[in-house]
Amino acid sequence: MPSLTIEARELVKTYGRTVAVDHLSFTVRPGLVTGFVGPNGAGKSTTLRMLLALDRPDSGTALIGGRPYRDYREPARTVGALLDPEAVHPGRRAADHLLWMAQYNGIPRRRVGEVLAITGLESAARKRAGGFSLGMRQRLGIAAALLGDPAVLILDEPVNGLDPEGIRWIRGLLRSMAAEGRTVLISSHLMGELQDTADHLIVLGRGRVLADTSVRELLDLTSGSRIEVSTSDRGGALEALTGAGATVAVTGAETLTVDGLDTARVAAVLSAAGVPFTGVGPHRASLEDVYMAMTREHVTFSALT
Amino acid sequence: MTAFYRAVVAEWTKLRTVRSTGLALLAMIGLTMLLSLLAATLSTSTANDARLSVDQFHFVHRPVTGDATVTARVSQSDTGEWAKAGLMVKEGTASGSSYAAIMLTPGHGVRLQADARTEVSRPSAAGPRWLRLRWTGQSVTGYESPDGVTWNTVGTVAVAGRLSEAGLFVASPPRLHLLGEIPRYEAVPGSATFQDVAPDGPGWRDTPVVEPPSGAAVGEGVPSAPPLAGGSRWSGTAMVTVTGSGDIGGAGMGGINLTDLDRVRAGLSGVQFGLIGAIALGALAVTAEFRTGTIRTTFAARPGRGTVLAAKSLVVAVVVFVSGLALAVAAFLITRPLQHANGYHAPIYPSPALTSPPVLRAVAGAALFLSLIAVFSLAVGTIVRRTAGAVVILLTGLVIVPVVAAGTSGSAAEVVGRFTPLAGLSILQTVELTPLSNAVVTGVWAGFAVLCGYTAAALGAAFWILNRRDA
Repeated sequence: MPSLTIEARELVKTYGRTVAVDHLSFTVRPGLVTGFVGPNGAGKSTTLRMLLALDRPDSGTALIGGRPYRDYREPARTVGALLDPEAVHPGRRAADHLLWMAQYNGIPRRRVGEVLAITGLESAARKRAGGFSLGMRQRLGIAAALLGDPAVLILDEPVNGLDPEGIRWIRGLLRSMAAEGRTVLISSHLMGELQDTADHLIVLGRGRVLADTSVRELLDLTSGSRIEVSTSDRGGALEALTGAGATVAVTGAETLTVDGLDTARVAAVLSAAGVPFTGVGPHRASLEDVYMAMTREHVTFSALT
Repeated sequence: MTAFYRAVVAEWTKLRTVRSTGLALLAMIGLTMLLSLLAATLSTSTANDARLSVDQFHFVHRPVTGDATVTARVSQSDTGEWAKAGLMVKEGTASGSSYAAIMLTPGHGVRLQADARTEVSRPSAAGPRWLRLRWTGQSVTGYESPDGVTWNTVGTVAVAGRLSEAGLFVASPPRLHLLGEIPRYEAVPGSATFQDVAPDGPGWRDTPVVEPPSGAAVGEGVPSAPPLAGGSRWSGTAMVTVTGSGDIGGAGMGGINLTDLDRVRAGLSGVQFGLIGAIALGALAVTAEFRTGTIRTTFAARPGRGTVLAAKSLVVAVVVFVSGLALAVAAFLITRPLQHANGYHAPIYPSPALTSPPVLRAVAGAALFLSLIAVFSLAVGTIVRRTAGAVVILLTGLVIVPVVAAGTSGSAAEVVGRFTPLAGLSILQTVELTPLSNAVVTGVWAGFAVLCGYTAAALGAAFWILNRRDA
């Protein structure tokens, strides 16, 4: 499998007065699942469309394997992409939908059957796409992306519409693709979707990169050295710990996070003050928390759901 | 080349795997057949039974008894290729009575006619010519000569009536204006100068030979127009300039053609509504991709958008051409016996075989016309992107406006026939209509070139816009 990177250099795209993508630069490396995350309107889909030469950037370049997508004569053999699972003609049968895409790229017909098998759509091969559920269309779109056995996979919101079994399946698929040395870029507006899938994250807000880091680093960075305390006497704990010079934040009815003291010292302070506690340990932020904190100021319009 | 071939194969897969393709082709075939059959069933002709002829001209004549000869040097003004000037001997001066005549035409040589039934022609150079008519009883022989010294026999014809008046005549056929399917004829004045007229001397009289208003002497449907006042002006006793309008002969003779002569075109006329199917096929082939978003999948599969457009156009063109060809052959073969049964047959109406070049051109032309309309629609669809918008624009421009124009005014219909993509219908013509007419609004290839021009321009615009716009 050739090792190919995805590279955005100073990409800019404006629609009228709205700046969708604002001097965006990043590199996606092979062998990893990279999550492309940001709230709706952050510029994820626009960036992906520019990577695939569907939209023309106002300035900057988008390269895959060092070449613009436009230069690929038969791109599906190198880049597998899923942008919109709804982009199928409702009257066309699933196998035919894959067949014409294969033919455009000189991919043999038998590969259509193979990707239908990989995505679990064999029984729906002769069914018209109009009758597909969102999950089935998502699988059909992923099947299309896999047609050319590509070294680079670009999937926009691939988890959307999948049932829990489907989500587990696609995580496994993406992890094994990355393990084979492929370059995998998946976008999502929900950080939680990526927590168990992505190795690396590019966080986007208002068309700019907010973070470009590994998942572990991001969690450590945000979690820091804080300690989480569970106690039935929140008020007593608060008083005792601030008295010992710590910064304390209330995070729940019976939980506090403590900054400035280590685990042993927190336990000692609480014991000395006679405050009952059921747990003292390092605080682990969830990706969702990190993401919420990071993008709070960068949300251009919040989800209406 | 491989890349283009693969694009063509892929686009063919796309086209054949959606139901709208079949439905559009079905609409194209159904509408064409329906309208061609309707036209073939509903229109009838009595031209062969009723002896359609026209007998209207200016006659400068004198009575004759027994066998005689008339001679003159004739120089004719060119008011059209079928203008007629020459010598005539006739059974009296009533329109429709028996006659024999030898005449010059600017475009079709020297011609000898008898009783609007018989015609002999001899090619000759344009310009003044000596003519002579000599008769014995009811047998009339015509001669022509470049100099009045060496004479060539044009032919001998027999007339039915007793010949009593002989002399000079001038006719100039009317100009045809077709308002939709309704012909209107406009009289055109013609003139000729006759020199060295023999016999000479006094005794010549002028008679405008005019069809009776009832049309009793001649059949309906032949090209005739209210006559213009003709006359004669003598210079001396042997030279006279004669003016007149009208025409002589029977349908199918001497350039006297009926407007409904082109039965091949009539049999294929359904394509001007069958093109609705071609419009739907061409437009949907691309607007459906924009509607579903598949266009992005396509451009992701092949970033070369020009190749995609070219492959799509080729596939649509070939699919419509092949089905259009089968359709046109079927329409020709099915409508012909119906037309025959309704009076459209020889001798007035030629019925050429499918394999004759003009018919092959018309039949293949009908398929080509539909094919180009489909590609034109594809290009418009690419520019407009929305199905409804593209279909409304195309139906308005290619179906509604022409129908309205045909029912409104001759000039509007002419504009449609000359300057819109529908000018391409000219390729269906197998008969050049005469007299001088605007029924043949454009030449066979000239009109077709207009359609080709529109298609090329639309494709060019589509290509330009496709490369510029975000998908």
